[in-house]
Amino acid sequence: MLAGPISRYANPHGLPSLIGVRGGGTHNRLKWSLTMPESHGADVRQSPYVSRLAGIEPEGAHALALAALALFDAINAGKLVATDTDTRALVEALYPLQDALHGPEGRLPAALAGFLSTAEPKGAHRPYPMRISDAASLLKACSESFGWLAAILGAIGKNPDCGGEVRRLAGAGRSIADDMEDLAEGWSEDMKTGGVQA
Amino acid sequence: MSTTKTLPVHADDAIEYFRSCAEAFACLSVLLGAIQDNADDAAGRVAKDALLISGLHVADRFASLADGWRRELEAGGVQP
Repeated sequence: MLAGPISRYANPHGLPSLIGVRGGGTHNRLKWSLTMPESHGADVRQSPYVSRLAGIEPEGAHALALAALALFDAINAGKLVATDTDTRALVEALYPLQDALHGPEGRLPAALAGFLSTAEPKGAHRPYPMRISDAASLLKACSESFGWLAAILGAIGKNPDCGGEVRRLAGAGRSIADDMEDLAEGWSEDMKTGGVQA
Repeated sequence: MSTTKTLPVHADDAIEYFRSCAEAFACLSVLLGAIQDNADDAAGRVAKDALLISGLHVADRFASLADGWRRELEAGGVQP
């Protein structure tokens, strides 16, 4: 497991989190330009919370989700009192997010982006300079992910069947590719904005 | 005995390394998506081999490139 500041950039177990990245409809990826990132105005991927979550093991993410559910219950029951304007705004921003969680499909990404933009005051996301050792580790993560994708493609090639198993393998590979695309783009932006340090 | 010193990587190049990786991942996603979406029909089966060859080429090439860039960074550092 990677330790220290690298956890800000990379998922220590190598599999990027699905949270905070673009939603993956079956054909969405085909519509995206290969060079121009999709922009919604509020970009969840840019949030430092996305990087922090990526550094938490799945078991920890599950624990966080449970704690969040308990906190939602307390907030919805009016048991939490906000003592300042910012915290009140944060609590208020949770309501549309909860509505989106339980509401019609497709509203969650915008609601999450809205909540995160409230949680992070303007100018809060200023990437730190990326250490060279971190950048090297991130390139290693890219290299390993390409290796995994090659292995998945190889497994698909060896599979004489063209049905469910091929579909599942391709889906798994696609999920890794989508997440790594978002992460690599984010790292590039972080390096561009924050610079590099020895 | 030669003492070749690795030159530092320019910061803009390092940024491009990640951007290139992102674009390669996007390509692979499209290829895998095409395989996934057309796994059941006859045309998809015909196209599968071509998509696999292209995908393997991209994945293998970039696995090696990204590792090379990592070694460059580690050996030479970054020049602002």
